[in-house]
Amino acid sequence: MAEAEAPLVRVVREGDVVWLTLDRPERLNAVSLEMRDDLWSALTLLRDDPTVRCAVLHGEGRAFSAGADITEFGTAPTILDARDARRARDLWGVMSTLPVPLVAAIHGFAYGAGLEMSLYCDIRIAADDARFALPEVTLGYIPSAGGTQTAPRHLHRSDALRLVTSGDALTATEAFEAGLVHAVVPTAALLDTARTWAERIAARPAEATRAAKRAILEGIDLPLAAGLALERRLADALNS
Amino acid sequence: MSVSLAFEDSVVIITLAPEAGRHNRASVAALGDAAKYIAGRLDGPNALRAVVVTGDFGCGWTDDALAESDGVPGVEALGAGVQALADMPQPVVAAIAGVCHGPGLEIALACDIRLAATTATFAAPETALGTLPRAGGTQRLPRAVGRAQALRLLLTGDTIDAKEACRIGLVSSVLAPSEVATEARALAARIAGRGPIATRMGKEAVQRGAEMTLEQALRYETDLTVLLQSTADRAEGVRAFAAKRPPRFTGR
Repeated sequence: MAEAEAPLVRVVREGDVVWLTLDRPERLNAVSLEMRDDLWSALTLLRDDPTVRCAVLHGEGRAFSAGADITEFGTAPTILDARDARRARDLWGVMSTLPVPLVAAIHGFAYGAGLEMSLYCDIRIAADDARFALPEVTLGYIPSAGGTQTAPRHLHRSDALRLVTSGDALTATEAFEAGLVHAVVPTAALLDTARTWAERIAARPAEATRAAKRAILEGIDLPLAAGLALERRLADALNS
Repeated sequence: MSVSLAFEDSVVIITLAPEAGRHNRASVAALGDAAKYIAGRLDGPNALRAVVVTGDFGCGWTDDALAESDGVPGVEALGAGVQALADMPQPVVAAIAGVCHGPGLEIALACDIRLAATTATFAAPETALGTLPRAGGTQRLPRAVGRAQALRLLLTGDTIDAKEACRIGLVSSVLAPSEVATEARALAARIAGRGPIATRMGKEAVQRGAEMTLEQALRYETDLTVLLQSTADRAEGVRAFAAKRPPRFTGR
């Protein structure tokens, strides 16, 4: 994969691991339309490059991402245009089906779309200063980068409903206790910890790792018998 | 009265008081009637935005309820009131301070968010009586805590304390007995202060979307999001954020 220098999402390859850096620190990495486009480019490159064995997503500056760029709300000509645009370029669909294992390294705010991006990752490492929330209802709307669907798939239902309907924030420790993140580390150790996880994943046989991720992501939405059949097909393909 | 209502601004508090802690056809019917009444008050100046369920959740069914004829008529009558609670569009917070067993647990599971006092205990003792939960317990418990913990509770009938209930995800917080109802009312008041259409759709997206494949559910979320873009509340929320002032939601 060629290293791309995208303005708002930096893509840097270190061996078998790709680092995706949200790079709009002056706006706490708020997800603008331009950042969506850059993330789309970065993720489709990842999707189409079989040599990438793991990727790490993190934020430049003081936060992972503070959420959607609210200054751009209401810029679509009509709400039907807004719906068509989301369907035409399905960024979160690409992220939710990405074959490459994804590690999120989260510090500062992971609010709204920031938290939702991390919920598409397979491993979430939090710095002890990280804060998590889905504050959309405080502004009269709901999470729209998949959070109403991914949060209850990672959390217990009561915790997911509290996040979504109250907009209340969780500290890193609360997020760990709720099962939202896999580990909490000192902020200074965040990137090194994420690198260790990513390199450990990258060192394993790539085909098996990708097959395991696919078996879980596709299988969980299937009836058990169909999920078991999918697992058998993927295992047979690895053995042959 | 086995069910009473109190109102604090746009929050309604349902207090459960089944006689001797045992539910029967009348007590769950009263709960169902309360739920339907609240569900009917979504709009207007006296709209209800969030719900707290508190009081005595109960330890079991009365002998009369257990003697209801097997088969569809009896079982459905006992489950209908709890179903009406689960069907309420407004977010529902349970504040559980004592025994929450059998139908009490099923009522708690029909709520959206569960908070417990250190004094709360939880159990699904039905199989010891040779029966099954009949108000949704076998379906809502695994959706709340996952299959392994649900089967453990359903197959053993074991009683667990609040700390264990929090560990397995059945409740979201454990608080002092004097604090749980206050905290539940404060949480409900925060929810009631958010965009009311958004909190209802957020609940709907989570509860309905969990029954779909992720791909279908993401499309569903997008459609609800686009629908919300047509509301005055969403425009007000964005304006208020830009002006750094609290939003004034009208439910439109």
